[in-house]
Amino acid sequence: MASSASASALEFGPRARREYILPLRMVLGLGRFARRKPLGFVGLMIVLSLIGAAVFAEQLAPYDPAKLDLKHRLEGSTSLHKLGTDATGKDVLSRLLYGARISMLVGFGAITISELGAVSIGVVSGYRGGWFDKIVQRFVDAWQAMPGLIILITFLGIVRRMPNVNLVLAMVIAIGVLGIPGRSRVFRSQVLTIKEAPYVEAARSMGAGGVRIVWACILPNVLPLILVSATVGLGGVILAEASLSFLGFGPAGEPSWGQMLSVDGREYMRKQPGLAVWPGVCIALAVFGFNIFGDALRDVLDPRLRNR
Amino acid sequence: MPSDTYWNRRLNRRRALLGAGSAGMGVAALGLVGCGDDDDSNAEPTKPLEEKQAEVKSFLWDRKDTTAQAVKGSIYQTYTTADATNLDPLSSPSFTANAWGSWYYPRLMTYKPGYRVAANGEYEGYLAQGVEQPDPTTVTFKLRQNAVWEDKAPLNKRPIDADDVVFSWKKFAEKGQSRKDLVKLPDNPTGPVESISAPDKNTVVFKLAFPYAPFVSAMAYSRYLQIMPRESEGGYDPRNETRSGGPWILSNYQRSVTFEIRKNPNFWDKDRVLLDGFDIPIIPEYAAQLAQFRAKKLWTFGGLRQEDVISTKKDLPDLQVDSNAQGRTAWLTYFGLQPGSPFLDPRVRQAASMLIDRDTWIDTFYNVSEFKKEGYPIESRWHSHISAGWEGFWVDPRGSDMGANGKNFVQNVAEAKKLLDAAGVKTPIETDIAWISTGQYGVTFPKHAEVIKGMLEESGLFKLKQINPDYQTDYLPKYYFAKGDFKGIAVGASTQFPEVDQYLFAYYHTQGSRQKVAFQGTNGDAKSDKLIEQQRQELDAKKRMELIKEWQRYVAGTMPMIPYPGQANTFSLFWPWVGNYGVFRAWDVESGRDRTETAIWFDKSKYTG
Amino acid sequence: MGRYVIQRLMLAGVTLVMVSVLVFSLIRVVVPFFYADAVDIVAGEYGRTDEARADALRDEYGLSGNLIGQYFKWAANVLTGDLGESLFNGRSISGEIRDRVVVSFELGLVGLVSGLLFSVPMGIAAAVCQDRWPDYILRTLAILINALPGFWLAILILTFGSLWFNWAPPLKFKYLWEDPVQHVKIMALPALLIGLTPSAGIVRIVRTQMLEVMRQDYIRTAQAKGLNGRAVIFGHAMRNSLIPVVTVVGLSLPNLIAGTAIFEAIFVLPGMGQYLVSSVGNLDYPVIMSTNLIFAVLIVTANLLVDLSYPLLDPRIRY
Repeated sequence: MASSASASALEFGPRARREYILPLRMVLGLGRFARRKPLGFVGLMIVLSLIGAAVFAEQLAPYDPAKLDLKHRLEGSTSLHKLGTDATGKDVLSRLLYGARISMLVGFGAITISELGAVSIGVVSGYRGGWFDKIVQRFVDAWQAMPGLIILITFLGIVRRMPNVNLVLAMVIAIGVLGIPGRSRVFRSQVLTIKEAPYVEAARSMGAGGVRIVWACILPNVLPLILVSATVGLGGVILAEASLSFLGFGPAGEPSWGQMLSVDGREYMRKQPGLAVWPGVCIALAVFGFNIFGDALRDVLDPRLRNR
Repeated sequence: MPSDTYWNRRLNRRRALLGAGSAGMGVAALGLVGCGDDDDSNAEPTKPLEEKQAEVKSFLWDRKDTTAQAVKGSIYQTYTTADATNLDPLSSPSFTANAWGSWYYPRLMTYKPGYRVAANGEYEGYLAQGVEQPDPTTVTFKLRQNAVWEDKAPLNKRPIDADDVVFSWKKFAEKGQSRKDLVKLPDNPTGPVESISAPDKNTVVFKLAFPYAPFVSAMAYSRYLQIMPRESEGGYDPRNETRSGGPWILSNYQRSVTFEIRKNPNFWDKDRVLLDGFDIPIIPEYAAQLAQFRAKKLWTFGGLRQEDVISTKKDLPDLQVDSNAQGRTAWLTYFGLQPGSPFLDPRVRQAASMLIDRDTWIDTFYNVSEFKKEGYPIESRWHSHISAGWEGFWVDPRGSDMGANGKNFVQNVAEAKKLLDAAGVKTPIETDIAWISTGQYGVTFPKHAEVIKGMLEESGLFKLKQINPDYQTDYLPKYYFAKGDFKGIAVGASTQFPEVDQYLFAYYHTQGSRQKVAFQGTNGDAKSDKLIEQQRQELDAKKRMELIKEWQRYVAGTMPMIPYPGQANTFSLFWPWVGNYGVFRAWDVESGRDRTETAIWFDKSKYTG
Repeated sequence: MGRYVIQRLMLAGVTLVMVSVLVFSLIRVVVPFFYADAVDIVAGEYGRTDEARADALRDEYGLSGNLIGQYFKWAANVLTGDLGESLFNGRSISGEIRDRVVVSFELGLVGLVSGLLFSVPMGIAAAVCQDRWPDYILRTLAILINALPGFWLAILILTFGSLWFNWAPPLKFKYLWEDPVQHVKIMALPALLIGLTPSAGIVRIVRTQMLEVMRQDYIRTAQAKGLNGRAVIFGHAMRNSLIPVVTVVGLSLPNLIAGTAIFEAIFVLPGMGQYLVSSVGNLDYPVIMSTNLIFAVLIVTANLLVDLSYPLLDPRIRY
């Protein structure tokens, strides 16, 4: 990294080589990760299977999640329906797989917004410093002190009444925006330390401009932090989505775990416990997977923890 | 699944313990212990159906009248699912205020409860002691003279008089939600009531615009005219406080937590009231309701899912089971009638109706086959364009009385396809289907709609896009009140009306004052309109019934909308210490507080809670 | 110190203004622009077709005319302590909130305390056994508990508690001063469940801080002096490692209080969250605005208290 500012002529060389060995490094790294952080590896596996379920829901699901099977309603596990059926005979397994889609969509969507916003604010504010930083930080403080779930309930409660509104998108944006300020502080403090590092001083003295320094020196150092905070944050976002759906503020048409739990789970649980149990297990598994993987990732990647 | 079987095992173990406790069962207890969970029928040794039927018959509640043994006192424990928006029945935006108001605000008339059998809509005086109809358009009510308001400022036992009635009517006519059913107004020219006057303290005279057969009975309905004291304007805030003139007082109301109803010591007929009152906490969560009921902290559980009736009775054999009468609501599937809509053609509407598998739909929502399997007496009925619960008025679509148009109610995909081809419609018809997914019509409603969509689509003749509009801001203005000016199909609920006329007129008449859903995109249907007008002015009950039947046979052909597929009787469970449960049966639960709730008593000898 | 407090108070003011402007514009600009307004709902299902009545109501509720003027009028009223009244039942909002804030606050606080009681020892134990199997188990357990949705547990407990043990929570809510026993019985379960959520974070922070502190010179000195392990851990390490825990507590308190909305709905507790959810349901805008504002005030206060408590806990910190 230290040489990147002065080595513009060689830029293509090392990068190409790095890409060439990337798959190999990944496999080796994964093996090392599994050995050093067995829990984190379990988390990674959970996360990967959930992403797999979300992406390949159509191929994996035995039924269309909206298909009714009135002759086999409210059944437990049968050969036709591995995890049983809900009150109108919809296949629970298929709905769980499609539900993963909403969870992952909201999770990754909201986290992307949060991280992008947070990095922009954190880096710019931290790098510029001075009065600009002060004003931005006060604003961020105020933003962070907003009551998150309360604002979400209010916002979604109002937005959901609009005709033709995409509630998933509204949820992604709202959760994402509310996640920005807390994260931006982490990035800002990181930028503040990097800014004073000798190699940045060196780059600056060689006449590198602000944009270039941010791009070449600061962002690469912030990148691991982004990964860590995103992974750790995803569990929380998924839980938030489930909570909101449970309260009835989620999308109604598509199957989501929170909504499955809230509608059929609550009402028909006495008759068919699986209706409440499976969506809850999925939520818990997803949150658990992301948290445990994020923890391990933090230990490995967080530069502030590296020397521990 | 492993965890499923785990629970079943746990349940069985628990039941085994219970079974062992009841030694009186003798050898049969062994059979019960082995008898698996209600969910997995294969584990259960199959008892012959006759035996099961005999068993159910032996425990089905016989509605024995125990008034003679009744001991007065005690507080009934029940629950409600939601808080009231406010407590003013004459201006609240939701009917919750009317449901509460009927506890303590009197009405001119009240419905006669059915004695051990379902009520039939007959009415009698409540605040009114006599009704006279000197000519077809004048109705005079004579008020009883011994009625007083609650002993609380600013009323302090002031007699209830005709001015209160006039005050209440005027408020109803201005702000009441259902005023357009009754009041003739500049924007509601078809309303039957022209004016009201009070010639003396005890007489109220209504002037009608035309002879209106159901008028006196309408005065018994809690969603119309509840009598409030004129001091409710200025003297106290009726949105938060109440002053009783009936058998009950709202003695304590803790918002979001509980309602407490107590006996009114100044009620003119207070000796009739057996209980001291009702505790009605708000419990929105089904799991919590069920838990409270099973723990004997609630005496009855009106919201018990039909799917849970059999298993709960098996778990807790002390519970009594009562079979309820058929309900009187038929909700609707109605059509967008914009220019170019395929549904303008009656053949398309008939075809849509023919795609509904009515028996499967009823089985899905009334748990019919499981009840039958367990020997419970259950009868399913198909709705015509009025609900199958309107005894005497209803024409059974499967009966010979319906005539040729009965075929439109029978599932027949091939015939439907023929009809669509004849109408020149390209199949599958691609359009929208809308319903509200939030709880305003209850938690099961979205599933009703979902199944209707599923049945229309299964035939391959429809391809529907699901839309879930917001109730207040989207569904009501753009579907419910849109007079057919929307795209596709909509599924919705209707109110339970006290009189079949109000339902017919509101939904099917071109001038329908309230929910104009059928015919409205077109110029209406003159024949249907005429029949509806004739019946509401027909004072001979028998002839009126015939007119309504004729109307049903007619619209079964034109199919202005598809009525809900049908219904079956439901079962409710209650603890045995509720004396006189179901003996005096309300015509309309919300309007029956003064007659049914007063006859219930607490049988301490059977109390085990 | 004084200057710092003033700065923080000003910041709190900014937050409150942001919240109120956001909510005000949502309800009074976005809502009427995209669909209807509260008046249509006040007028009811059948009154909404009546334009004259809707207009009259709009005037009555001060919903017509200049928006900016309306905002300042509302803000001025709030500053004088008048939160207005509900559109639907005319009850004073300040009165309602006074009763409800107690419930939500208690729920959040008890939840937090129970969470701490359970997670601080776990964090210490994990640190003491660093990188050995108790450490892994405790950390996994903490994360696992954190991952379980509390509302899901609540429903499971209600259903199976009833099916297996015929158990049911008390029927009616009672305030602490009305019936302490009943109050504790009804609040215990939701409070415990609420405490589960932040516990994983606390376990983690306690563990890292313990590890950090245990590497400090003074701990080594203490160990060198021959103090036994337990005395070192409880006498020195723990106290110092709890400072960052205060931060976590401060940060999670608002979420705890907000998270009560779900449990208040399930267990029928008359708190703020339930008030908000029901008012959002019928667009009771004065209530929506006030509850949002009060929640913001709670959070700002919690943050302020946390910031001010640092110098008390750690003499090295000074403002």
